[in-house]
Amino acid sequence: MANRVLIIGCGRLGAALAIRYAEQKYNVYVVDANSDSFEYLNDSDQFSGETIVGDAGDVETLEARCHIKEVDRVIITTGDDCLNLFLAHLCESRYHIKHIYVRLDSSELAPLLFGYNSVQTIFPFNLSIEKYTEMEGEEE
Amino acid sequence: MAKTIVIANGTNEASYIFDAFNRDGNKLIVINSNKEFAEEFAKTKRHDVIFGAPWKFQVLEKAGITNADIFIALSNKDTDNYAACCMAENSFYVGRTICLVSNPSNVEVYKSLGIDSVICSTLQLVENIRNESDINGNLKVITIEDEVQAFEFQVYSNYVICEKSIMDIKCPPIATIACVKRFKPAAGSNDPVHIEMAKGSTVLHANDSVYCVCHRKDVEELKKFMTREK
Repeated sequence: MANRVLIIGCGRLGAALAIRYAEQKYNVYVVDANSDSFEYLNDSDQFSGETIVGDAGDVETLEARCHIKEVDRVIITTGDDCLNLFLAHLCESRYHIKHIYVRLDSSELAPLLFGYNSVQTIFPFNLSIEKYTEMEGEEE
Repeated sequence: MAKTIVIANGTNEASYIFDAFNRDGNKLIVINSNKEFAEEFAKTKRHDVIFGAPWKFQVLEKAGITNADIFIALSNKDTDNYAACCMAENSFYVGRTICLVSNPSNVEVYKSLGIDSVICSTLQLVENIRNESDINGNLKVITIEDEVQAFEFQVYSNYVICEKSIMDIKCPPIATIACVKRFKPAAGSNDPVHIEMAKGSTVLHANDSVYCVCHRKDVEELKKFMTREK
């Protein structure tokens, strides 16, 4: 059976990852509350996944329409940190998903993910700062 | 006993809760991310309001909520309330978190993730409607905690259980009879109504109101058992 990935939030990051996973022959499901967001998927002719318009904060939507019980990995990239935190907790505690990647804009919520061993957190802001600092160091 | 209560976000609900608990020595901490509301509240209630999102560590730290007894999250976004309660409990050790939600399915979900109390007005409305409809059937149901329900019913003279002791009616093990309300004075009292705690020897009479506690799923079975006619 092909690997299955659910991507929650189809902004630039979510869409780019969805395209990449589709190219790697994953079964890809992408959910976003706003159907316009799926426009980002048009950057590729290769995207063959399923798009779902719905509220990912609603468990019934996740279970009935987003295949949450069938996926091996979840990538949470909405622009709402509180929603992302909730989804990360939910995916590990309720669905026991082994690979959970969550984007957080604010590092203030990071301590609330301590002990969630399947969750890996990405802080785009911190990464940018680190990269900037690294580049500045190279110049000097 | 005086408590420290944190009211995080909300508008009318926040005002009402503030008025209800702003007495008896309680310490109220008000946090709100709506600047206009925060200013108006501070002015009309003459009480400090911390401005900011209550799921942010720095805001809660500034508000000084460490070891508060109760934290109530009242925003109209369920996940904001969830995150605020998590932050309050994990980083500030509040005693009890209460989370308001608009999506009924979040009640069970948030509780399973560790929120102490989750309140949904839609769900409570449904519960009230259900209870109202049961009253017409001689049964009043009160939800104590999710699946746990107390229900009250009146004993009629044609019921099998009438004039029998609790021991003799052999109540199925799905429920406990808690007490009986009698519309006649207890021995040595002039009070026209008295409550008798249920014992095996307590005899049920016509017009008594009986209070039982059981699981929600067993209410119908219990109702059938208790209201069997002779």
